Amino acid sequence: MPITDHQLATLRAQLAGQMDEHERLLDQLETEESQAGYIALVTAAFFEAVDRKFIINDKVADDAEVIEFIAYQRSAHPVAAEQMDPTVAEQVVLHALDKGPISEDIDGETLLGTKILLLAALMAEADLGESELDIFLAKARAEADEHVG
Amino acid sequence: MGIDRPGGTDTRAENVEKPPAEDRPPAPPPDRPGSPGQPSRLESLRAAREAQEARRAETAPQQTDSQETGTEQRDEREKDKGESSSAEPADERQDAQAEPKTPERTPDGGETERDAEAGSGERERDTGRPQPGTGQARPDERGEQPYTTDTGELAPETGTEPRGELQDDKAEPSSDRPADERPDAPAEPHTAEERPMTGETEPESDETGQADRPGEQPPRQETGEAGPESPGERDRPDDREAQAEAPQGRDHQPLPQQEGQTPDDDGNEAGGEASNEQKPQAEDESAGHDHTPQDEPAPAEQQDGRTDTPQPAEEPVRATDHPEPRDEPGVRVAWPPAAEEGVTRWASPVIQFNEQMPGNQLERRDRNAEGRSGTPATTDDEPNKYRDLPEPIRDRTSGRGEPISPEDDPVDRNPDPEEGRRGRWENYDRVNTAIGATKKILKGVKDLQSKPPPTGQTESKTDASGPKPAAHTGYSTDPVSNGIVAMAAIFSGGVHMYRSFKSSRRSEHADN
Repeated sequence: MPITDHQLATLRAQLAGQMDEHERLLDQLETEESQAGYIALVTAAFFEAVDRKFIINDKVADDAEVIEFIAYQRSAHPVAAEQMDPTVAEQVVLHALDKGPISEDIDGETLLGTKILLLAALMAEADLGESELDIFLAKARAEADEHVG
Repeated sequence: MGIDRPGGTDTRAENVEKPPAEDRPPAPPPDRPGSPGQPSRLESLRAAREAQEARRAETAPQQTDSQETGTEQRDEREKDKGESSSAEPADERQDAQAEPKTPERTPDGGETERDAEAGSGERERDTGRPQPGTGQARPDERGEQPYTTDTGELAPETGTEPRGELQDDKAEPSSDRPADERPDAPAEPHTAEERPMTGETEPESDETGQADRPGEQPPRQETGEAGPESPGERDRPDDREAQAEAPQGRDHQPLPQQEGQTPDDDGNEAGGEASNEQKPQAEDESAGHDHTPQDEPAPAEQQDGRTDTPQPAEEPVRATDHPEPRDEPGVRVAWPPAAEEGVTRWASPVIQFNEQMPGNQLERRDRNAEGRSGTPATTDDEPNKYRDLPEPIRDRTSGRGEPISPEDDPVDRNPDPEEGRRGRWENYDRVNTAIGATKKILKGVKDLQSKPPPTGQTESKTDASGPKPAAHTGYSTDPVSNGIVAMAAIFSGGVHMYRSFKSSRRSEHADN
C-alpha cells in the first residue's frame, strides 16, 4: 500500500515541530496498514536523514562521528537521552549506513522509538526550511513506497 | 656384398683400386694407392659382375619383398641359390670364399662381420661413403647413423677412416681374407666404372646419383616418398648382411635393425655366408625380373651416387607408388617391389628420425604405421593437442582460475547503494507493529526539537583551527611610560600642593 498524504502529513507535522498536530494526525492512523505505512515512512525518512548527515560526497562518515553525534544529542537533550539508548542508537545509525547489524535483542518499540528520536535530532540539526522539508519528505515517501508499495 | 659397395664407390673408383693392395691389410681404407692393382682389378671385375648380380638380386629381393618376411629368409634363399649357382666366374667364387672367411671374423663380434664387410667395401673403395656410414651406423644403430653419415659428404670419409681402423684391428687378426677381401674391394670400384658400359649400369648410375643426394634426400624420402630408393638405406643393408643383396637386404634390414639388431648380429656368421651366397641368387632372380633391376638396382647404384638427375624422376614415381602400398596392402601385393619399398619406407622413416630428432622418430613411426600422409597426421595431432589442452586446464582451474563474470565475483563487486538501502529495511518487520512507540517518545522528540536550554555558561565552539589570541604579558616599555606618568602625576601633585601652600600663607598674611 503506498504512502498516503495523511501519513506524510503526520510525519511532516512532527518534523516541523507541530507536535499537537502530529499527535492528532497520529491518532487518526487507526488501521494497521496506515500505521505500517506511517512506520515505513518514518523509517525511510530516518534513512534519508542519516544519508544526508553521514554520507557526504559518497563518502560514509566514520563510526566515531556517529558515536559523537549521538553522545552530543544525548548530552544536549537530557529528556531524549532518557529514552535513547546510545548503544541501540549507534547500531541503528550504523546499520542505516550499512556498517553493521542491529542486535536481535532490541524490540520493535525500542527500535522504532530510537529511529524517531534520531530522526528528530537529525532534522533539528538540519534545520530545514519548508521547501527543503517537502523535498526531504518526497524522497522519504518515494523510498517508502518502493519498499512497502 | 661387394656389389653395393662398388656402386657407392663409383665416385672414387680410381682411388679404390690403388689402396687395396697396400693399405688393405693394415687399414681398411682401400683408397690408399700403391696396393697391388692387378688382383684388385680381378676382384674389381668380380665386383662388377657382383654388382650386376646384386642389381639383379635387388630386383629379386623386391619380388621376394612381397613376402617381406625379412632379409634373413632372403639370405637363406640366397645361400641356397649361391650354392646352387656355380655359374658365376671364379671371381665370384673367390668372393664367396672370402665371404665365408668374414664369418670367421664375425664370430668375434657381430659388428666385426659388418665392419669387415663395410671395411672391404670401404677399403677397396673409398667410395664406400654410404657404406662406411652404414657400417658405422649399424654397429651403433644401423638405421639412424647411416643416414647421418650419408647426409654429409664428409661423412663417408669419416666413416671410412674409423671403419678402416676398426677393420684393421679386426682384419689383422683375421688376415686370412685380406687377399680375397681386398681384391673384392678394388673389383667393386671397377664394377662401378664398368657398369656404365652395361645398359643396366646406366640406370643404376642414375640411381646412384640419387644416392649422392640421398644423404639429404633420404630423410625427406623417408617421410615422404622416396624411402625405397634412398641409397643410404640400401647401402646399409649391403654393408650389414650382404652387399650382393643391396636393394632388398638394405630395404629389409632397416626393419630388423629397428626391431632388433640382435638377429643380424647373431646371424652375422650365417648371414655373412648367406649374403655372399645370395649374390648368385640375386643374379638368377634379376634375370627373371627385368623391371626390378631397373627400379631397385638403385640401391647399389645409389651407393655410387653419381647422377643426381635421375633421382627426382624416379622418386616422384616411387613416391606415388609408396602411398598406395602403405595405405592399401593389396597394392603391395600387386607391386612386389612396392612391398619392398614399403619395407624400405618403414626403414627410411627410422633413418630420418635419427637424423632429425630421436623423439620425432617415434612419432613418425607411429604416423607411418597409421598409413602415411604426414600432413593429415600432423593436422590430426594438432587438433588433438588443442583438445587436450583445454580439458586439463578446465579441470585444474575448476574452482579457482575459471573466468567468472564480474557480477559473480564478490570481490570486484562495487557496493550497490540500492542494495544497502534495501538491506537496512530488513528490520522493518520488527518495527511495523510498534506504533505505540511513536507516542511514548513524544517527549523526547519535543526535547530534541527544542533548542538546548541555556546552561548559564557561555557556550562557544572552540575551533582548534581558529587563531588563538596570544597571551598579553605587557610591553617592556610600560615601566618607562608608567614612570613618566607617575612623574607627571607627582609633579602635578607637587605643583598643586605648592599652590595651596602659597594660598594659605597669603590668607595668613592677610589676616595678619
